[in-house]
Formats: sequence, C-alpha cells, structure tokens
Amino acid sequence: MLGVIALVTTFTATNVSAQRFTERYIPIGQSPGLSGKYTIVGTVDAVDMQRGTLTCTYLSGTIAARVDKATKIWIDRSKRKLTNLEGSLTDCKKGHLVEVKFRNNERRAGVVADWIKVEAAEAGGK
Amino acid sequence: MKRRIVLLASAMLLMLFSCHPPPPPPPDPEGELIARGRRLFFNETFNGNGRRCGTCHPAENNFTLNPAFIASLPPEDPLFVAESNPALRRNFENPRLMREFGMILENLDGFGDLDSTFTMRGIPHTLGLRNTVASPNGPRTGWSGDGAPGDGSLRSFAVGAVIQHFTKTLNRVAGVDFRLPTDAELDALEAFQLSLGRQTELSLPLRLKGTVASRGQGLFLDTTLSKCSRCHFDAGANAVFGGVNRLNANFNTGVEELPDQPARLTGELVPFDDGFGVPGDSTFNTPSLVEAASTGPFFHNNAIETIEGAVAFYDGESFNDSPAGRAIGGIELDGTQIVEIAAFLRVINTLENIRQTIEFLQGSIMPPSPRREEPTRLLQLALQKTDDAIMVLSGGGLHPFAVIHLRRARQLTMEAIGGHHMERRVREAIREQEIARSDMIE
Repeated sequence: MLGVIALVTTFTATNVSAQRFTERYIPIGQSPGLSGKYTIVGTVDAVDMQRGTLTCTYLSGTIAARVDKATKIWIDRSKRKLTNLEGSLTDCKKGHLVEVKFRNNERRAGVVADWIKVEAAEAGGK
Repeated sequence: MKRRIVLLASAMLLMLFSCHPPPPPPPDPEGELIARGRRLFFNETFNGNGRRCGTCHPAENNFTLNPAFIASLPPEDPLFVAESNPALRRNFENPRLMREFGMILENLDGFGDLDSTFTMRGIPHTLGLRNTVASPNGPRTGWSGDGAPGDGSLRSFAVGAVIQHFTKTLNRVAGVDFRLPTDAELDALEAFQLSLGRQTELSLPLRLKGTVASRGQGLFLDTTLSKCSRCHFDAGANAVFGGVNRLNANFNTGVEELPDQPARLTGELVPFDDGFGVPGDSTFNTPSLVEAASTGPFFHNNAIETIEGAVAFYDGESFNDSPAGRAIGGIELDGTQIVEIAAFLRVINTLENIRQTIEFLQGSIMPPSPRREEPTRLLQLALQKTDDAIMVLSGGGLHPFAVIHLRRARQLTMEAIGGHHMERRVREAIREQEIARSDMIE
C-alpha cells in the first residue's frame, strides 16, 4: 500500500506542461490552443524593472504581469523575416506589440508570466 | 407469346433497376476531416525542408522509424536532409545515430546552446493515440509527455514538429524557413492521428490458447510479482492505482541510467535526457504495450532492441534503483518469466495486427469512404501488418500453426494486389487471418 501511495505521489508530482522552448519561434498571436484563449495580446504600457512587472493594454483593459527568473521573454522578429531572439524585460518598450502567457493560464493581474513575446524594435535594432 | 412479353418486360425492369446508380453516401464531415488530415500528414511539407509528418511516421512502418526501415530509404529521402542541406549540417540531426539507431535530435531544453543542449530520441509511433494522450494534468504527447507547444495538446503537436524538424535553416523563421499549420490544418491532422490504430482498450484477461503466452498474461496481471499492469492497465498506457484509473502518466523508471546504452557506445555526444519539463524531472511518458512488439526499438532512447530485453529491463538495477522501481518495491523476474511476459506481448500485438489487417482487407472491397485509403493502398497496408504479425510470432517461436495461415493470407493479399480475382482473394485472405487468430484466442 505504501508503494502505491509513493507511486501516486511520484505520478501526481508531474504537472501539465507544453513544449515551452518551441514557443520562441511561434510569432505573436499564433500559439496553438493558447493565443486568443488564454494569452493576452496587446501593447506594452509600462515596465517596472525593480518590481519586475510588465503592464500591457489590451482589448479589455490593462493588466500587469509579474516576471520572475523562470519567465521566458522572446523578441519576435518574424515580421522582418529574422530569427526570434531570447530577450529580457529591458527589451519590452512602451507601445510595442506584446503577448503574455500567464502561469497556469490564470489571466489576471499579479500572476507570474510563463512567457512573454514582444515585437522587435525598429529595423536594424534587436 | 404473352409469356415472352412478360419475361421481356421483367428483364427490362431488372436492367433498369440494376443500372440505377447507387444512392450517394451520407455526408461524413468527420471522415472528410480525417481524409484531409491524411493528405496533410503524408504530403504537406509546410514550405520547409521537404519533410512531411509521414517522413518520420510512415504508415508502412507502423508510423515510426527503426534502423532497418531507414536503411531501405533512398539517399535523397528528406529524412536525410541534414546530409544534403548545408544549412542543416550541424546541430540539426546526427546522421550516424539516425542511421544506426533510428534516433532524431530534439531541442526540448531550449535553442540557446545547440552544440550541447539537445536530446537524442527514438520516434514514438502514432497508433492508438485516442487511448494514450489524456492525463489528469493535461495532454501527454511525445516521449516525455511535453512534446507539443501551445496548450500541449495533440492538436498543437504539429506546430512544434514543423519548427523542430521541417525547418530549412536553424534560424527557424516562420514564413521563411517553414510555414506554420493553420487552425483548420491542425484540426485535420489531429482527427487523422486519432483515427489511427486501436480506438478502444483491451479488456484483460483474454482467453488465450498458447501455454507460454497465457502464463505471460497471468504474470503480467500479477500485481505483486511483475506489477506490469499497475502502469500498463489492460496492456495500455494508463495507470491504475488504488482502483482508480489515473490515465496516462509519467514516471522515472531509470531508463536514462542504463549502462552501455547503444548510442553512447559510439562515442557520439548523447547528453543526459532529463525528460519532462525544463529543467526536467527525469520522468518519461508511459507508452501502450499492445503496439509494442512490432514498434521497437524500445524506450525513449531506443536503448533495447527486443521485447524480451524491454521486459528484462524491469528486472535490472537501473529500474529497481529508480524512483518508480523503489515506489513499487522492485520487480524480480526469472528468465522464463521474462520470456513468458514477452510472449504475451507478442501475442496481443499479433491480435491487434490481425484486427487491423482484417479492417484493411474489408475496406478494400467496400464502397469508397473518406475514412479509408484507396483499395490498393489498404491491401499494401494489410500486407505490411501481416508481415509484422509473422515476424512478431516467429521471433518468439510462437503459434507456428497461426504463422502458416498468416503466410497464406499474405500470399492471397499479394494476389489481390496483383488484381487476380481481387474480391475473392481478399475474402480468402480474411478467412486465413481469422484462422490464425483462432489459433491464439478462444
């Protein structure tokens, strides 16, 4: 019986997960099963580097996402036919198109972002 | 004279009736979706390097690859694109490991350091997915259960596959190196994949006739000795603990700890595969066993070639020292028992092959349906499945009487492909398949 309990524990310790790193190469708004359903696509409103938050404006209002060490940030350059890059919060500039996927798909303020895709700055830049 | 007129009128009426075209088949939107998915799966390159889903999941090899099948491919096959496209020469595949062990390269832990961060894995078949993807924690796809981007579903899997395997360059720019599948294409691909193989689970125990396979089934179901059925309920991919079906689950069974893994013996770089998630938790997804005997090599790293070896793994130190092995109190099997469990797995695999073969054969003489391939293709698939059944039984020295009838069925299927009295040959082939089946199960 103890073995069964241990096995159940081993089993339930594993959470839902998708192939997160492949997201890097999926343009903003095209993540299958997520975009338009669980993510937010909008524009960057503000970035607070000290608090580690990104606020964006989208169709239904404004929302702030938290960013931690596990949050992946990618710079979407696909419109310029360039490879997408890994980025950081500093790459999220006001007015840029952005897509935020919240952890556990909890689309509400203060939740940590699982990943953020931000459109690249002007041509020639990163 | 009057009688003649009546006869003539009757004959004319009969002719009129028999010439009347058959009514059109009823609309079948799901069948149409499956047909579209099939076309995409085998033909669509998504403007990439030439690969298609069917490149790594060919129907004629149980929707998977192994070294023998790879050896039969021409050099220009898109599977070998890393050998011909200079942009993919480095960090896209390892041609040696692909050809020798049927392994492909995956960047599951990110694309930041392509020289050293990757995994080398076998290609899981796509049969019976309807029974193997669901888990309480969401869908499980691929060897570690996290194979699909987006929402992680089977529907989303193709997007990740295109980015990983179809790209023209390692820049992986959507719209340049490939195009991403549309929503409609993802729907169709999912419908097609779900239509493959078994649509329902077995219900064990089966009333098997063979002495060795019957004992193997008994051992398989013994939850205190082999403990197989705890994680492979009804020989599928779902776990049952405490009487509750937990559906598809991930476990760390210690496969990655196996000594002398064939790929690593080559001296090629084969980084440690940490399984599910990033960083990984060293768990891997549970595959179904019904399809196992004809879809080796086994485990995520193609470490073991034979089904007997795969069963024996659970008697070894790597498993018994693993978290899953310790959790169930270890497994101790003797040589005869290992072979008996493997014999059981060979027999249930053959029964599934026969089931599918009969389905293909029957389909080849039925009116066309979008759910099915065209008749000649169905006969070719029936031939391949029959070859599998013969190989799987013969490889274990099992049911020689059934093998004789399977060989007859094969010959009849060949003749049907040749067009000689096709329908009659198909019916005879079905009969031979049924005789072979009746040798194995009541």
